[in-house]
Amino acid sequence: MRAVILLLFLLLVSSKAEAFPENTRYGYSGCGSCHVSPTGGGVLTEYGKRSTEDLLSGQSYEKEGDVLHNLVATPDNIVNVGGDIRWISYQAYGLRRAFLMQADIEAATELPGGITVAASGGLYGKMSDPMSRRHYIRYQPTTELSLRIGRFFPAYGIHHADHTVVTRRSLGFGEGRETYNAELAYIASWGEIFITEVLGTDVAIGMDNQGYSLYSKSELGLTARAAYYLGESSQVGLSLLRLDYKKDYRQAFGAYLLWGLTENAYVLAEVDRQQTLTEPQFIAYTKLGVETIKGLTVFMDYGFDGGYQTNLGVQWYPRPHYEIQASMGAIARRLGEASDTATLLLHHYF
Amino acid sequence: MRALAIIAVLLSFAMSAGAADKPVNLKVESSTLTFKAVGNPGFIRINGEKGKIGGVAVENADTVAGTFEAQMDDFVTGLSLRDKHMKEKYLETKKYPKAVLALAPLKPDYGKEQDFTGKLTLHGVTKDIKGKVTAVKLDKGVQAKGEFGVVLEDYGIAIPSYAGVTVAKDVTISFELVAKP
Repeated sequence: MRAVILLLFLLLVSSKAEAFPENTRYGYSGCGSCHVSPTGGGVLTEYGKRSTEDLLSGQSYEKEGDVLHNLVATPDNIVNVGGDIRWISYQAYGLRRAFLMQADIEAATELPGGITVAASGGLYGKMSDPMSRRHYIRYQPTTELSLRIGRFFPAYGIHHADHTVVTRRSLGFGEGRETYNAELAYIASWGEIFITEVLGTDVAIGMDNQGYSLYSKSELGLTARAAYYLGESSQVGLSLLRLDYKKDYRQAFGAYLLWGLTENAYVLAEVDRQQTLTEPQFIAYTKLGVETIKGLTVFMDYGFDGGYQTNLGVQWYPRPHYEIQASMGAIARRLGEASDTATLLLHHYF
Repeated sequence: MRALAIIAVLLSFAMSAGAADKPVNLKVESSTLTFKAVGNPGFIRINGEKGKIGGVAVENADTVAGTFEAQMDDFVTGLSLRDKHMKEKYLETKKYPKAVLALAPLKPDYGKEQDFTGKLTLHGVTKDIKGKVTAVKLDKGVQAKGEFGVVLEDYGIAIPSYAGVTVAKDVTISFELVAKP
């Protein structure tokens, strides 16, 4: 009952959305125009809401991206509120699982002196208790420079919305793996640099064959990411990571490319090499997307991390607040059997 | 007879020399006109596209001058509401529908990038500008490509701000055109 009330509340208030690195093709090199978070994802800025109307969605009316589709007048620019409700049906290895993956809300507000405070809370997977995966305070003394402390994903590689992408999952940036961090960011017209001290976390959510589960792990270390904007619609970047956990450690480095082929087509690519105490691992991911009609993108991706994962699918944003994604593909876990896959994702972001 | 032939040759020289001195009007037949600005936060690139240039270049014996204009309502930036704000609130296109560039006489060095100067009237304010242009002589007419910068405040245009994104005051304007007699 508590969950139902929370869901109804989430549906009635506010905009939040996942990261969209592919929007580099529109000249959106950084994430900070559309998202409160400088690394993307989470609650949208006012500009982000306008972008969901004009850039992302097939159709929209003026200010449809606003709270309650702008059907009810709300005070502007006091608090940005958003949230995500995602339901997924996933079939692989002869099993089909369908569940509510995420139902959360995030609020952010700007305080005097260049300070922004943001916090999220909600339900994730099979977790019955609400939790906050992201909360931070950010201080931005200049247009370029900012310092952020709190819980969020440290900057490394491409921040895909899909947490199952191999370069997210295999590098420890899967669903619920946000850590406490202190982040120094320098974002300029030529590119951006993020240096993040990872302060660890005690509680995280992981997904295995049985679904979501809670576990505890605390890695400490450092990540760094630097990007250089190429022309109007592309960028290249390098990432580094070194994290230690008791006597275990892992370190990784990688390169990525966000390539806007045209305003309607893009390529995302990332390669990483991760070294753990026991072995090295090569991880690679690439995705080609073509927006065939406004709001509807046909995509194909391939990821490799010892096993592989590939999909051919469509991603449709019919109107602001709604996303439907369907794909078919194949997956093979490392040293495991291969299986066909089918995925349907229904996403309401608000 | 011989004298007549000499007169005829001299006359033809005189006529051709006169033709070279006579100004030739080159009308802009095709063009692209864009602007680039940067918005913050996020350093987003704001590209104004679909601008068009009208006007006539006047080619004299060794210089080219001319007056060119653009309809400010032609520009689009990819976000319709942002365009509406840009045109209504900042550029005030109903009040100032056109931007006009009066090109100062320029001795063309075809095939090479060179500096040009002129007077730009934008938002009802006229200011001197400097830019770079590369012109290529065609069989008939001229092809030119170049860019120049403007500072919005110089033209009485408030620094545009839309949905929390503020545009930097420096805007780069790029053009490409073909002008023919």
